[in-house]
Amino acid sequence: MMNKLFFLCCLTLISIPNFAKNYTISGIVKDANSGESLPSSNIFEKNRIIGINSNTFGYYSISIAEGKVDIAVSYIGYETQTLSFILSKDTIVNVLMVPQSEQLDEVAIVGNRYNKVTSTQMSMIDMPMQKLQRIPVLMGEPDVLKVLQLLPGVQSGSEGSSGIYVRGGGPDQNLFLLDGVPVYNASHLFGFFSVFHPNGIKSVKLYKGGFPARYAGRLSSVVDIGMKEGNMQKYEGEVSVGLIASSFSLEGPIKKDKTSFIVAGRRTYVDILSAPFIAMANKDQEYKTMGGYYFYDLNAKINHKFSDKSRLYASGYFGDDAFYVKDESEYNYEPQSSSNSVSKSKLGWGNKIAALRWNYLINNKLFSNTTLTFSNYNFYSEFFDKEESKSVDTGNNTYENRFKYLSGIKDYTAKVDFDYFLNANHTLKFGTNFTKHQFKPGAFLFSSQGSNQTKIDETFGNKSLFSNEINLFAEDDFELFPRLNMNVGLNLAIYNVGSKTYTSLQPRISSKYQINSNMSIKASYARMAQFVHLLTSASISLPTDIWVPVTSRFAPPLSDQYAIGWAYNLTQSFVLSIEGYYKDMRNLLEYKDGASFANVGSGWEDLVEQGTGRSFGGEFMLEKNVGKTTGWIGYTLSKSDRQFEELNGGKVFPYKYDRRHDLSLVMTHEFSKRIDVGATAVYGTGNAVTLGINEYDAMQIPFSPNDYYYDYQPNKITDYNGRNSYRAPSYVRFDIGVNFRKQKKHGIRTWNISIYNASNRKNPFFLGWDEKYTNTVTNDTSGNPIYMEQTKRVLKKYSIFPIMPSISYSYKF
Amino acid sequence: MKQLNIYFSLCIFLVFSSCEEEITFKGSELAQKLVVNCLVAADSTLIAQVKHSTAIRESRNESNNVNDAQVKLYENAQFIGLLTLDTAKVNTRNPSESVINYTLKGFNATAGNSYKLEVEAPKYEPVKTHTTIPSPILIERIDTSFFTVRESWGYDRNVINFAITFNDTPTEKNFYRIVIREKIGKIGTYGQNPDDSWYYNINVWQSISYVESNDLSINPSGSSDEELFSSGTPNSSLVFNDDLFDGKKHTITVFSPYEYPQYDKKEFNEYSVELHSISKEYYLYAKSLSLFAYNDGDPFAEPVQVYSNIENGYGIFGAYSTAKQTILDGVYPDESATYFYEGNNDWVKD
Repeated sequence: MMNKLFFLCCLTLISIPNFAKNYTISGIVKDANSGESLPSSNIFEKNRIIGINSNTFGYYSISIAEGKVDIAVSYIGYETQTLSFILSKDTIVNVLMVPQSEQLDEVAIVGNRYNKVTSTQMSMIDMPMQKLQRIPVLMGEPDVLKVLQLLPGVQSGSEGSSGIYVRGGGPDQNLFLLDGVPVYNASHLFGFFSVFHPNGIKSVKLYKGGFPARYAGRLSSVVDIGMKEGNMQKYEGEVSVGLIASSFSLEGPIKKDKTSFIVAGRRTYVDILSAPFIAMANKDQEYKTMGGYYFYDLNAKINHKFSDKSRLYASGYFGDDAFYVKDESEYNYEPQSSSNSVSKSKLGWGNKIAALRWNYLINNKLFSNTTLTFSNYNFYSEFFDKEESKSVDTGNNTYENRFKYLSGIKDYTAKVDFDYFLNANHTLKFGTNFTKHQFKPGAFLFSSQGSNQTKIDETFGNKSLFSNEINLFAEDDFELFPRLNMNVGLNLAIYNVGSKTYTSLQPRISSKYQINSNMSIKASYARMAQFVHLLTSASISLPTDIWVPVTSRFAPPLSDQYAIGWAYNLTQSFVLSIEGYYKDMRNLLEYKDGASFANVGSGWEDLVEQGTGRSFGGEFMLEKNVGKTTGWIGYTLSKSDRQFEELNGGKVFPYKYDRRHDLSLVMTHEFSKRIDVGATAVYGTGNAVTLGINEYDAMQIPFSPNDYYYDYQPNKITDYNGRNSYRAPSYVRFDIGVNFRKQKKHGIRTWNISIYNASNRKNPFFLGWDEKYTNTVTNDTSGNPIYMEQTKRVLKKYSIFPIMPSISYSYKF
Repeated sequence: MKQLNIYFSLCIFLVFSSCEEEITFKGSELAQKLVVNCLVAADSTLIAQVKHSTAIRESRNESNNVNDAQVKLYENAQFIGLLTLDTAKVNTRNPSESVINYTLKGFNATAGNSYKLEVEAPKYEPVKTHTTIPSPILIERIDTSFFTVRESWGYDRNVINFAITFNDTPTEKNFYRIVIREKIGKIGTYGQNPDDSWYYNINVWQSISYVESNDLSINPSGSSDEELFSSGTPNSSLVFNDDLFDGKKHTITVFSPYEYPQYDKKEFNEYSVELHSISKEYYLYAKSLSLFAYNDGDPFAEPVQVYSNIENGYGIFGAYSTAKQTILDGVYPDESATYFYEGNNDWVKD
């Protein structure tokens, strides 16, 4: 491997050309209306047939020979801008892109169809937000991750969940980055909604393979989400009212063309709406109970432009879920005797992240980005009860108990990275980051005091664990030979936990061979390492899932992924891409049999097994991004399995989310500026589940007949015939939604009507055996009826989301 | 945590549950197999229960006894004889209440010997299995102590702690189980207050103690105080191996509920502490069976495959030998007397 890397590095150096009279064109690609920078815009010089993409902050730099220049700048959803001039010196060109809807009577989304065919990057999908907002939604809540689930290579896990499983990987193998900051728990309400509400989000990129060297830390995917920067020109906003939540966003200049802000939020209101009804039910009751649930998200960002070369961003995300219950009782027995009690319990979890970022253009070829970030995920459970009694006989007594459970993870990161636009053929990225992780794998606080009791105040459970992670990376996107482009990179990760230090050298190579202007083939290899595990085995995302670091006992999980692909512009409108991949995973953790819900304390290492995984498959995607009708067909044929020495008798078993076939159709159609519809259809092979097949008697331990035996002794044992050996029924869903828009005096109002699972298919959430009783009546020889009850086990499918219509209203101004 | 997760699971299910629907099972069902359960102890008669498995969707009411099995016993590879069905426990009217024990009268097993069973019955594939009875490991000493825990519902509970010291045998892998039998004489009431019942006889009974442990060998993740005796344990059978003390003297600690001082008063306790040296097969079976029971009813937990060493069948052929010591605490009471409550926790013999 190292020899190959050395060879590639040599090739890289050889391929650096040394042209005289080269000049640099650089600048920022921005939205003409808002001043918002546009990342990954395509800048293409037609005469020299060379192109590059703008970086995350919209900055581009291209060095080409002097002479006539014809540049086309394109970005999905915007009119392509063409610039023609004579290049005779280094030139700064800031490109202002005009959204298409502003220009055309007929609204159409125009995709950057060249990207998929011409970009060296493979296994990556850049999801346009316009497209995302037209796709039908569950309960009126648009959701970034639910749209990603519709892409080939991405699976949805269980019914309704917003979790993603990419190319046979687990739920903890996805790196969610919000403005570059990792988000550890990306879900609300047990995973049915993600924390990423489209309000306030500018871009979503999903990497399934061919990972550039700048990304590290997870085996299977990177979801890089960029927040909007805020309109530099004028105030804009949107309010939206849905069935379960309302949201808002507001952005605008603090100082025009200098400083802008954006703030966006969302909150559910089931608790607020139900409060009056609960109060009515409790009225005049001695025993009162009340409770509720809510979640909220709040995104905020400020950016300030010191100069054309220097810009500062401060951004934050705050989100919480909370369940709470409160019981109160008051009893008066006699005039002088009474008791009252109150108990409160609350469960909550949430993320708080913050980033401070400084972009500085060192020269027209070297762009720097320095970032300080903080990420905190917390879960807590609290219980409090207090009882007071007054009695003539026993006097006044008070008892009070408190219980609290805490777990979570905190990251403090400092990062600096550079984009170096060496010339038209070389774009280098390099940088380093340092992260200090603080894990709180679970601590209990218990206190108790009472009138006749000794006060107890104890804390027990795991202490915080600290670990340090350093990453160094460098990558070069270059043309090796005409038509052959490569992105070669290396990521060095050093991870220290306790006295143990792990080092992981992760080579990344992507290549593209341009067969003709409409067709290319691609190949990539990426090694990824991961230094954290999520202890989870439930089929849904629970907030009690705990992040733990790798330890001296369990080495970091590693993956090697090989992928090949073919991209073809079928017509002006259709792009076809086919990819195949093979992923080999090592040092994976899996709970031992039955250990899933055991107490995850200091002994969590005893509850898990380490083993290997393998995943391979093919992905097909036909997309149409141009015209009134847009959408895609995605199909995945895949296989994913696991092998652990101590599980399933050491035999290979299917991964829980192994899905042989996964098909999705997504379509949006714009009838006019006022009406558009979206529809999705999904088919997936059923999940692999472990299901009892046979049953037999347990040994009844022959204790002495006089003994009372306290241990629970099951009578029957179930044989499962292997882990995940049964297939649940297939998953089929059809959603449809329609938007009615109308121009009002101050903005545009939109009514959205969506029907989730329009065919009311009862998709399996889980399967289980259940007892079924049947009564039969026969007659005895005298003709008298004999009633017999028979018990039989039947297999049942439990579903959670039937047909779910929803309506929402939004107003954009 | 277990309760917390189950609470979440129930919440989700109650909030979002839309329906349940009966579906057709499309898996390949396995043929019925012989089930042999036999736990052989040193110096004891060997009893083997022979039954057959059933497809999980078949009726649970039907008998699964196998009355016509031929059970061959070998000791150290030497054929000993055929085990015969103990017909006294066969209920012909209600077969599901029968106890199907195959025994060889007059034969007692010996520690250190290996045993093999071969079982055949019409309609079933023959099965075979073997085990070896480990030698007993003597208990060197037992120390008892008491501590008090505040339970989650606010009451103090006295707990008796046993520290059992023994010498693990070097050069071999050892597996153990702790069993404590207790004989208790107790004055008290079952109410919250002694006044609830103003007189009581001494109550004497014996039982297998409800024992838990925070010893790393038995329960690596430990129990928290307020969860003691209330949340169960994944290793309720208290089996353990010598991974942490191979070939060394070791003291293992277990504890058992003793009394609620508010309304119990124990007058007499006799504890018989048994250290079973168990075969590896029985260790794997007991440990996985405890886990299986612990997760029973939790639809989100990974199911537990219970260990079996019956070739072509199900069940367990395990072995153990016992070392024990008895601890006496208090004076054996007069069971015929009636005690009156005089207040202030004083009971006076009539």
